[in-house]
Amino acid sequence: MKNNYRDLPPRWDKTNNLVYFSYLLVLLFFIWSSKQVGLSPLELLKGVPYMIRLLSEMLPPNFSRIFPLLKSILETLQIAFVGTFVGILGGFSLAIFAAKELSPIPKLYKISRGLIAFFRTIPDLIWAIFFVATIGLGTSAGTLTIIVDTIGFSGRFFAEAMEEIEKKPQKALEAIGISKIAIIFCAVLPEVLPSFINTSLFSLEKAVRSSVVLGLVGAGGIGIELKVAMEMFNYDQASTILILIFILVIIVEQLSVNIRNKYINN
Amino acid sequence: MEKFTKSSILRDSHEILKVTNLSKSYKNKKVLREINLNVSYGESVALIGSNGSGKSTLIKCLLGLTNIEKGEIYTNQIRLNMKNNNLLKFYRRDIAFIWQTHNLVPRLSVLSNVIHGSLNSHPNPRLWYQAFAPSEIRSRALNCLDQVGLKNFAKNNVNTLSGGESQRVAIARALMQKPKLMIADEPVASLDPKVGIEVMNLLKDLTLKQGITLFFTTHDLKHAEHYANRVIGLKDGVIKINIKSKELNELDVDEFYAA
Ligand SMILES: Nc1ncnc2c1ncn2[C@@H]1O[C@H](COP(=O)(O)OP(=O)(O)O)[C@@H](O)[C@H]1O
Ligand SMILES: [Mg+2]
Repeated sequence: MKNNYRDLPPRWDKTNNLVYFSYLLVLLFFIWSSKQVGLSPLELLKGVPYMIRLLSEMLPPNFSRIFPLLKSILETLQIAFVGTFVGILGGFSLAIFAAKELSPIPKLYKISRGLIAFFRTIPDLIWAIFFVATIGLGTSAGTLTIIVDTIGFSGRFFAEAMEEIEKKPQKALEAIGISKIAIIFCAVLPEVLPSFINTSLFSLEKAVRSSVVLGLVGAGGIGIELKVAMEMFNYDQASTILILIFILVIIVEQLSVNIRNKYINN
Repeated sequence: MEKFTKSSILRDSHEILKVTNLSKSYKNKKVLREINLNVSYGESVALIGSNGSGKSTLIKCLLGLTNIEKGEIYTNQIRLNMKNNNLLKFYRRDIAFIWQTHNLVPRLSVLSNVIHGSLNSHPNPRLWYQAFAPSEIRSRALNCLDQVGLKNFAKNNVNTLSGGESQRVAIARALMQKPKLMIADEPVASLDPKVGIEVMNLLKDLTLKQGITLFFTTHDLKHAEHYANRVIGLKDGVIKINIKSKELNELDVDEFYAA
């Protein structure tokens, strides 16, 4: 058989030189950045003995302060739970105004979109520092942080979910003279409910992880215990705290998986 | 309700639907040209015409679902005014509308969907879901379901219904409105012929029994002859036929459908 190599399509689509050039730029930027940030296998290797020593000092965990620690991990969970709950309500209310064509007051569409984006783009740790500075150390600062962060996170997904659903059932109710608010609750909400549950559960998981960290800046919960233990070289207490955090995160994630399976996957 | 200006109410008319000089275009394309149309209380009228003749557009105009370019529409003696949201809601209140597809709210129960039909006259949040609705409303909804033969489906999720059952639930929701006028745009075009006939029979019987005026579009001439007492033929946005269905003769129809 005669070879037909000439008829084969090219292996690569023809791309212009500008594209190759930009690939090259990205590669160069990566090489330069790794140097800058000190990413080197050697450094990592040098650290290994210290890691081993730290780990050995962490073991066995010291459970002598288990009750106060349990109390503060509960506090972490409570911050996350209350913050997520209120944040989801806030995110949902804002999302109604931030969903195109649904917004009862179209003038507020841009404003609510902007507000959600603003809440989302500022990292939670910065919100925490802001609230600690303004309302003081403690759980209220942490809870407010989670609320704001959850509004930013869930509001965006809620609004998108409301925009993406099938519009015809809403149109059918609109055509017989039913008000916008009623349509949101009886035609939009039932359709987006699975996606709402999903987003709410993700918000809770996210909130639990961030409320652990928020303690580091004094916004309540277990984080501050971890910080103190590390700074006082009480590594065996630090490991107890890490175990508690691990258990909390696992429980919340497992719970969330179960709820998801129950309400969404069937 | 709102104060109506004199011109927005047509008193003592025996016409439930009155369209004068209605024109409508999409972009540069004229779809309806100077339509004049009257329907009396209690009539059953079929609107026929080939695909693209403007039937759905005319229906959208009647419901205030699209802006009209020129002309006036009165239903139930109220003039369509799309500028004022409350007037528009009031205008739509006594008009039921059956779409080609059922357009029920998915995931909700059949009963909740039927109850929604009463939300326009009772704007009560308790009617959003059947669980909160007053017994009197729930019982009326069950009654409407009974009329379409689906009394035992009240608790079912609408996602589990067949096409014909869904369309019947949509009819029950329409009855819940206690409408004076029932408009339907190819209500059985997405159903198989046998089920389609059942649903058309149901529409005809229920509207006749309850004194509701029926105005439907169809591309099935048999349905027009059988379920309507008057047939209106739309071609290129102009009314070409407007006669009693008994007087429909084949020659006219052939000529009407010819390109
Ligand atoms: N939203 C729209 N935008 C632009 N053109 C449209 C739109 N809806 C319908 N049309 C056009 O208007 C004409 C009439 O359509 P339609 O009223 O749906 O006809 P029918 O229901 O009789 O089949 C068609 O040519 C269609 O392409
Ligand atoms: Mg059509």
